Amino acid sequence: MKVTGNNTIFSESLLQKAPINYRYMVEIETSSFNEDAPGYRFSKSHRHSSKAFINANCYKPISDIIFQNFFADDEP
Amino acid sequence: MILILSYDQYEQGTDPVIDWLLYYRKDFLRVSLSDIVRRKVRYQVDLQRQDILINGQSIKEKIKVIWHRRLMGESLTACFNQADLQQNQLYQLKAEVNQEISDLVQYLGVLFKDKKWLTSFEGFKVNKLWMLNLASQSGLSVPRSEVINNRRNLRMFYSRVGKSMISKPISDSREAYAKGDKTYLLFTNEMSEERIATLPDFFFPTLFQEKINIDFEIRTFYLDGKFSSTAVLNTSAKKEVDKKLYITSKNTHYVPYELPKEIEEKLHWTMMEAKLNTGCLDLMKDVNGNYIFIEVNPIGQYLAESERCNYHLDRFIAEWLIETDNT
Repeated sequence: MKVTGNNTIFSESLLQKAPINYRYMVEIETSSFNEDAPGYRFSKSHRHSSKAFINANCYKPISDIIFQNFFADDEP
Repeated sequence: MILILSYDQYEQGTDPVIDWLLYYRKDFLRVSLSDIVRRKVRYQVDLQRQDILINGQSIKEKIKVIWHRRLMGESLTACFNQADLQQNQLYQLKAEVNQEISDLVQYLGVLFKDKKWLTSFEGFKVNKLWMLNLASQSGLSVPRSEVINNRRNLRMFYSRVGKSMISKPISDSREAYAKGDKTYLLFTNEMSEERIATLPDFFFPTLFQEKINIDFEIRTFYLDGKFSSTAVLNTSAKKEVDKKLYITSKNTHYVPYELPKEIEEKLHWTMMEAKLNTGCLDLMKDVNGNYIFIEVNPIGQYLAESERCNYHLDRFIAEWLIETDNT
């Protein structure tokens, strides 16, 4: 997702009537906005076998290791 | 039989579960908003018998468990041709049609109230502010938060939180605004002295929170008392205030994580109080080792964390539905 800055699409008169978050909207290049078209998907459902969605394969081996295991040696 | 209420088309959290139901050869009925409003399926809601007949067959007694996933999120007004109507007429027609279907769906919730629901209609849209209250009552840490409508009180709150503050939408606003080759979205914003100085004396009520000095974020999928947690570790030098901005970065790593039992018990209590039996919970671990509750999304997406941590949550949900239907 390519973020090009914070900006607003609304005029000052409209912003006066809206929550302040609309002043700091995140501007993204549409071609890189995953939710609109291309991007990752995490299922292999046939229903989703669309060219519009890229399949993200599992990239790590199956294990029972959890984050805390990396620090197990530091524990008393 | 299992009733699934979801989108007609792409809804990434639904279809993988259906694949597992097919694998287990389990009967289910999937109904979308399109099925209700389009003219594809013959059905009637009989108020005298308090029953629903699809193609002449009663389904009320057959259904035992209902998985409700974003039924009302699907747009049903795309069929209105904007060229046929003036802009103000179009808005009014859309609003009226939405209200009609919303009331019908609400009644379906009443008809099926004695069934086992995975996210009831009432729990579908929890209030973010109320959830912060509940989490706090459970003993969880939550960010100091205030909804403020004026610059004077905002400056005072900014000082109280150590001049480290964010603003975010109160509701779960995630619609995108497209304009040319750019798309605009609302995310969490970091507030500064300069930004506050540019605000008018009074403004629309906005949610402000202290900015947590974060070590990493934790995304937890909760289902009926069981937690599957993922640490979202970001190794970028520059930390964004909203994790949605770096979820696909190569510097973001998803790692299976186990919350302390005490935190899980408090989260479980919070979910029970909110009458939620499933949801995606967002937490933060700060640099001092404290766990801070941020929010819960009852119908949040879970597949990314599931796939990256080998949790197989789609299968877990399918098996829960089958087991519940069989009891």
